[in-house]
Amino acid sequence: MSEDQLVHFKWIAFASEAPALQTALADGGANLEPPTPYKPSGEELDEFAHAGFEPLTLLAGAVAIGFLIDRAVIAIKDLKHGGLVVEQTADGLKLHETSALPRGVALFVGPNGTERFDSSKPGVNIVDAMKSLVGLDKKP
Amino acid sequence: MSPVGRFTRPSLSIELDGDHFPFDDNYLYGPAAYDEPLLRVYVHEVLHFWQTLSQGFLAALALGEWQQLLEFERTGSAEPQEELQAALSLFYEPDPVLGFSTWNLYEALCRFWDVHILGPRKLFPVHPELDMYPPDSPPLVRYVDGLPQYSSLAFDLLMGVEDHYAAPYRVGLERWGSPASVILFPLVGYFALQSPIPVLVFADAVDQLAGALELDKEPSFVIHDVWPQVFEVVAATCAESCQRVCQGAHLVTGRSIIAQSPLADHPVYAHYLALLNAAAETWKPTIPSGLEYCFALPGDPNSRQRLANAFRPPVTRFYDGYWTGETMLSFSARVLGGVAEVQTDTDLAEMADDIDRRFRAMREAGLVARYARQRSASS
Repeated sequence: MSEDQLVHFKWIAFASEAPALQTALADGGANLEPPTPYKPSGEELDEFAHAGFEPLTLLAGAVAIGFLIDRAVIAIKDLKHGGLVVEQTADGLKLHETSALPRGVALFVGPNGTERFDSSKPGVNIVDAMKSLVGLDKKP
Repeated sequence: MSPVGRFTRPSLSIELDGDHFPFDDNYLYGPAAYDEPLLRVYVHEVLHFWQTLSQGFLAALALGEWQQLLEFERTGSAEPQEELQAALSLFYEPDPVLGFSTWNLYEALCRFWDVHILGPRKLFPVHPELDMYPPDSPPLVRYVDGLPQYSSLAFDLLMGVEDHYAAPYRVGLERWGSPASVILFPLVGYFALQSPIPVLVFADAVDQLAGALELDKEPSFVIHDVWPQVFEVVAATCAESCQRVCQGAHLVTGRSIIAQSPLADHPVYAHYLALLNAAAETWKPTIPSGLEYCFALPGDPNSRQRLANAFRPPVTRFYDGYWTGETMLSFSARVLGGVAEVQTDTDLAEMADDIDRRFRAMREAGLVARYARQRSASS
């Protein structure tokens, strides 16, 4: 897999943050579907309801995997009161902020389980970790 | 970007997504006077804090989460215990007939007070979908004794703008009409959240009160004058609805749940229980329904002033600083009254921080367990 290869993604964002994220993704060449309100599933409700105040928006589309990784790393470092879950699913990558994780922490969910990365710890390279998650580190 | 906040039940603490600024005692009393977008979120989260102290269903949820945390620390299991799982399902899952959940009711009630306390002028700009209604235009403003007040239309537009706030209020609008809804909705919502099945009790009380008070025939009224007149009738009606719908169960305050459960020994809740007891004693001579009236009607300026002087969250965290929860009541109870359970503001903030860290560790473990479950189900 190369960094230019398109990957399908779903990114669940707070409604107020979705427009800026949408613009950033579009500027990075993402082919985006129209944003839609996101209704958490029964299992997700408690996780999302802790955020309480505002509804969620689902941004979905396809973008170069290298760019999506860069945006995710920016999000992980920018989040002030929580972390980011990056989930590899059969349909691509699914990302969402969660207050269940401490600030600056990313939880990668792959076919072999979950891996936790704390961006505030020295020596942790989230870019490499994400590349590994999606198979970008493998030699062709 | 619109700021976001979070309220955490097991610690009663608040997080606000923004930079710290100095606290002012008047923020809760008159937040609309300040040009600070984060105050809108602060007020909303403090309302959730007051709800948890006063509404039995929510205090019971906090109790379940606290016991789950203790269980997690004892056994390592982050799976919600059966009773908590049932309570969370009741909280989040919409009633199949009514189409909304207890969580919707809880948020709608809070939203009601957001609109009332902050006023349309502060909230219309947050909703671009309402751009066609300039907030100062005649249909949205009415004048009482020469002073501008928001109109029913302004209120109804703001209450109807988002799905998860709108549905319960819409039920009131349909059954009571707009003027009566402004009076009855916050009271019925408040008492319904003191019952074991809030959505059903709410719906039953809405039916019982439809037309009963003839509020829709009043050409014009000041809601702060009408609330004291109808308070006891609505409380009694909701108590009857609770008994009818919940097999004889009674309405239960947050204070009762805290006092009669392990929350009485919870380091943060014990502090607030002592304050609740102190306020119940002190306020009784001056307010007919004391604590209940103030918690049920935090939009009433006198109620809100009392609540703000007595109960503030143990810690309100910003990106780069925090506010503590010292109030006039906590100071006087600790220093003058010598009440042992009442903590200093810094000790209380540290305790809340500690519980937050532990609760987040449990939620993270729960998240990992959920993904493990999904993986094993799909393999």
